[in-house]
Amino acid sequence: METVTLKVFRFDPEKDKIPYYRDYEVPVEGTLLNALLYIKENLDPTISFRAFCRSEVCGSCSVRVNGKTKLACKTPMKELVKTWKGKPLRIDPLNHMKVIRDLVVDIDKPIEKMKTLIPWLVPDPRVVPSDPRHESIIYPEEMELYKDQIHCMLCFSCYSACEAVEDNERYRGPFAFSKAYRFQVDRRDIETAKEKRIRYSISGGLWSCVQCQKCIHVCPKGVKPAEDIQNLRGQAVKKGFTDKPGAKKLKHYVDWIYATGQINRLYLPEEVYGNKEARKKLTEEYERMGIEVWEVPKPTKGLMKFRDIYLEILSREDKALELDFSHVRKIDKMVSDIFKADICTIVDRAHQNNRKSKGLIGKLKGLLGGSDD
Amino acid sequence: MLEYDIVIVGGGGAGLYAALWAAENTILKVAVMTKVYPTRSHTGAAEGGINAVLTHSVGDSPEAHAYDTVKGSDFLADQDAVDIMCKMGAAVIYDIAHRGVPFSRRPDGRIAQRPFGGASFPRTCYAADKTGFYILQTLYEQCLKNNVTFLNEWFLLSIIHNGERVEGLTAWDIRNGGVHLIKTKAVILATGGHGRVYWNRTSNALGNTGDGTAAALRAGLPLKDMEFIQFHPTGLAKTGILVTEGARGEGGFLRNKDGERFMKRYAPEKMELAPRDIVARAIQTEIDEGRGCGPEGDYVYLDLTHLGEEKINERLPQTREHAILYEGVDPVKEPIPVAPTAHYSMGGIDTDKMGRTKIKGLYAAGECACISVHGANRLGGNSLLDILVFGRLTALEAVKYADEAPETTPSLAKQKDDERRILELMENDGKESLAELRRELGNVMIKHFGVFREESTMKQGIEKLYEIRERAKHVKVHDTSKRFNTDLISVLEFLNLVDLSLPIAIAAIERKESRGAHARKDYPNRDDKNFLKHSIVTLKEDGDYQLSWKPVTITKFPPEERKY
Amino acid sequence: MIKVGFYQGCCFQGQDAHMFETMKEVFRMIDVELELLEETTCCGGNTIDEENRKLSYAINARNIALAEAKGLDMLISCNTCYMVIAKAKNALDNNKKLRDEINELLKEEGLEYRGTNKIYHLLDFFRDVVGYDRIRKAVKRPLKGWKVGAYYGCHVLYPKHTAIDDGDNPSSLQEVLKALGAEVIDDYEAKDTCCGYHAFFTDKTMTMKKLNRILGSVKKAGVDIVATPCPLCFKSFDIYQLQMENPPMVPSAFLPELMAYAFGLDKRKSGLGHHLIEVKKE
Repeated sequence: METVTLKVFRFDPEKDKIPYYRDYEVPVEGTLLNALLYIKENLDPTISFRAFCRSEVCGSCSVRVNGKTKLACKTPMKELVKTWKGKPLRIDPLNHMKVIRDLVVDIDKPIEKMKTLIPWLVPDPRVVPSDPRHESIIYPEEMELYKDQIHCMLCFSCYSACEAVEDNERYRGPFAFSKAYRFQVDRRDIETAKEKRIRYSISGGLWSCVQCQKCIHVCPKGVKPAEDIQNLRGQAVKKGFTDKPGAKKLKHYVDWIYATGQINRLYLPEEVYGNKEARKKLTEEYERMGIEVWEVPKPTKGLMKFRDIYLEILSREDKALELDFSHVRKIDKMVSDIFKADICTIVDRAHQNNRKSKGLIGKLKGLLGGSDD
Repeated sequence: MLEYDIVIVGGGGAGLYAALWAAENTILKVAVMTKVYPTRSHTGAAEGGINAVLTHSVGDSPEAHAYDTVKGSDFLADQDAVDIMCKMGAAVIYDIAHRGVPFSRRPDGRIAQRPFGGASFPRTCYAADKTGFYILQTLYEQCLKNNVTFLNEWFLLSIIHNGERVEGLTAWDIRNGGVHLIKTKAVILATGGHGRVYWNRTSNALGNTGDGTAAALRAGLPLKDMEFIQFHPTGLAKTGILVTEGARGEGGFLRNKDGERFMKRYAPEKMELAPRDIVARAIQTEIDEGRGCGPEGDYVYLDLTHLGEEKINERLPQTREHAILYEGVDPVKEPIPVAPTAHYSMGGIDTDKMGRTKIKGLYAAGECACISVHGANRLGGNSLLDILVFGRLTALEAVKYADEAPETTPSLAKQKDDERRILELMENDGKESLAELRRELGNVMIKHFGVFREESTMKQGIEKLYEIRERAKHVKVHDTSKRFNTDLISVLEFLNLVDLSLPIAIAAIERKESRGAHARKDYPNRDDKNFLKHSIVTLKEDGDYQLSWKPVTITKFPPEERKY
Repeated sequence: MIKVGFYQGCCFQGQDAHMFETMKEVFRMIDVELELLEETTCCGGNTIDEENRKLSYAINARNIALAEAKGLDMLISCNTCYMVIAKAKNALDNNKKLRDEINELLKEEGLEYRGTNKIYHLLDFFRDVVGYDRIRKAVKRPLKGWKVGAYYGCHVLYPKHTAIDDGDNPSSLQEVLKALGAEVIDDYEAKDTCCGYHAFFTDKTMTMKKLNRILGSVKKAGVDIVATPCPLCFKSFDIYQLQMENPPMVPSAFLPELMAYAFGLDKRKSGLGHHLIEVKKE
């Protein structure tokens, strides 16, 4: 029988001064949970870990394998051996939580954090009948809005893998935002509760998420917290919480992409943080290196049609921000000033001689010693 | 000493719903004590649905539901209790729907219902294929909303009463270690089933070890109808993990080692779609008569290969995933090895129709209780209903009781006893291995008290169980740490299983008939004349068991042949 | 010569336009012709999704359709653009209603999203289309003695359904660096830490903490330079690093720059000469 060595994190604060790893040889068979149970039954009854349903519904047995969060009962040993190509398999408790013992961590803190986001239904009496004999009508389409979020089983895999939890003590955790969002899109939930969830989300680090996607990656149940966080941010902005840098960044994206098809990184520091110096400094720095800086992105062919699509979608869909047309006009003016024509003409020109409007890269051509066109 | 007015032991569906109803209806101090975090309870594994007659269930009625339930129970259910349960169906469904359970809906926005085995109307409400999971999560959310006090990861040791009233509990704090005495006026036991008595031949979670039932037994309370264990026909061969009935519903075949679709010999018309107990018996017969597959001949094949990858992926994704993960078999390419697996404990703590035990202030609800609404055989979709209805009713009963109950203080004796007991477990000779003896217990139970039972084999089985009980005294807790000592918990759980195995065996031998899930080869027929009654097992002072009988409550539906 | 449509995003224009010229040169040397997909727009940067997710799907359906119209597969070098566009493709391919609705709008421009082309990131393009051998053969100046820290960034590894490599134990970046003759360091402690780029304008403190962790960790591991296939991670390292309180001044490189240098271009032409944090290694 093929075997592999698991290096398992051991720590009993009652007895051990510091954590240590102990090696166990286990069969490459079944799941990682089978392997842990094998250790407990045959090699070492003193090892502690949580496990209950053994079939991926209870969320007890999340651990880390070489740093990567895994639900043990859902992780085939064969797959681990294949992934790690003979490297030792180090089994650690989940990250970001205090170790109680061995692979068991204290999950009370993330639960307490989740509680601050009102992760329960606060029924709106206009939608949910107070008479329990009556049904509240919910259409199947409405349930589509939270069909993924309701799969969260509180296994805390995402909390362990989260980059924002790592660096922001207050950050509530990916799962907590998904739990909160689930009620934000439930018609039965009362508006005042929705408002509160947004405020609490913001103070709970809504804008700290780095969108690394690790939460989506490690979720054993297909929940997509990073996307729910985006959804919550949209709701926050829509509800008028527009003073945070993140909200201003969104405004930059919405307006500039509409206006030019591109964002403008030069203007981001100014529009988000009010930092006008940054643009100047960066421009100087680039020019010192002989790189010509474009004040605005060059509008390309198709921009007008692109704008149509953009507006059309926004007119159909729920959106966080209204397009700020005065901002767009300002951008248009910057573009026309630089390219010495109005935006339509520039787009037309781009259309006619696509490949010739490259004057601005001239300098670079010299830099590269000629290019193949 | 911790003090509460009501302690609910168990954080599954019954426990959480009880906690919620208690929290919303009293200012008394209520706590939920559970050995795992509530959302990890096994309610979360219930897939199929929950039966109830709703306002829009045209043509259906609570009476029809009650009749189906009683018929399904092979007339052993107490009809007054069934009546209560079925009448409360709609109220419970609407209540949890209003709290956020995402029930699947019809296009008109009403709660959808589907047909289920043994039901005369499509009355099973469902939330996709994760009904229990959603109910459990929703109830937990609502408990958080109501600031319910949780004692998470506490293990019940003993129930303390003075012969008349309950006085308190002792429990082990898993995280920090230590036996605690808890003073409380009322206790609701909601600790779930004991399918793990079959160890690896069960669909149950690792911790479904009947802790509350065993504690009740040790506290002198009678257990009822323990011989009735429902076997699900298709558990994965290696682990007992369930393969949903849907796999057969979608057209899966059952084959023996000769490749024969053997169901044609047992249920020629319904074939693989015959009721659970019939299919389970058919599979077991094939195995027993040497037509099983594999080197040990101890399973048959559930063949889905003809359904094609697309259909399997679309309709049975979970089945495929589980077969690959837990059996190492891809159902698209190969048939899945399956065998009957212990699924549900119909028996449990003897209560009346309101979940009251003979000790005042002590209640039981859910799978640990035998109220009895399932009798000899539970209908699919009735267990979730049972846990909610009786979780709620026992909560209201307990509130009423605790409001008026006199103060009594539990003596420290039990705490000392339990402390000594645990110390002994850590200090005995350790001649026996927990893992081995536990496996042996499971093997004895499945072999001698499995799908089929027979006097002679059961007699051998009982001897072996007594032997295991003796040997269990030599199982040692090797881990001496107080902190999160899962070795200790495993041993305590195992001892609970040992305590519960004998009542099952004793009642099974004495019930000389076949009824519901209790199928005797030597007594193949139901015998209403002699056995239309509940078995009762108690633990005597001397450590032996005593069997007695109790009449069944029959109100509207006189016994008749159970035919489908 | 393999021809592929190159999606520039925001990282290869404006002050970064020179990077595209370098890219073109690098790819020419491994027999790949990059055809710039000129009419494409910003992918929305995984930010426009906050405004409305369908908007993100629509503009990227358009981006993909522009490549499809030319009958070209799409090569994306930015991790985030890659993920955002791959997510859009995934959504469009699995939701006919969404696809039809968006195609109705694209019609105006004479475009149609069909879902027929492939979307590559640099790393899987090198692995699956170019092959490491061809890269090895193009090397004229092996990066001998260069200790290069391999840094993937997040959006090519997560989430699973759009990842181009094994998110747990990836190898495609190391393979390229090895082909260039570098000594690869891929086991430094913070190799999986996010670069924090996307938090810079939402929670700057977060970015600084991330950079501190990564750069401290690579420094400890003794690398000469950190190499990343993502232009955004690169910006985080090269530009945002300077905003740290005590910048460790760890040099970094966008992968094609290292390739350019190894393929024989001089430091300026390779792009390595344009960094705010000077690349001293020769």
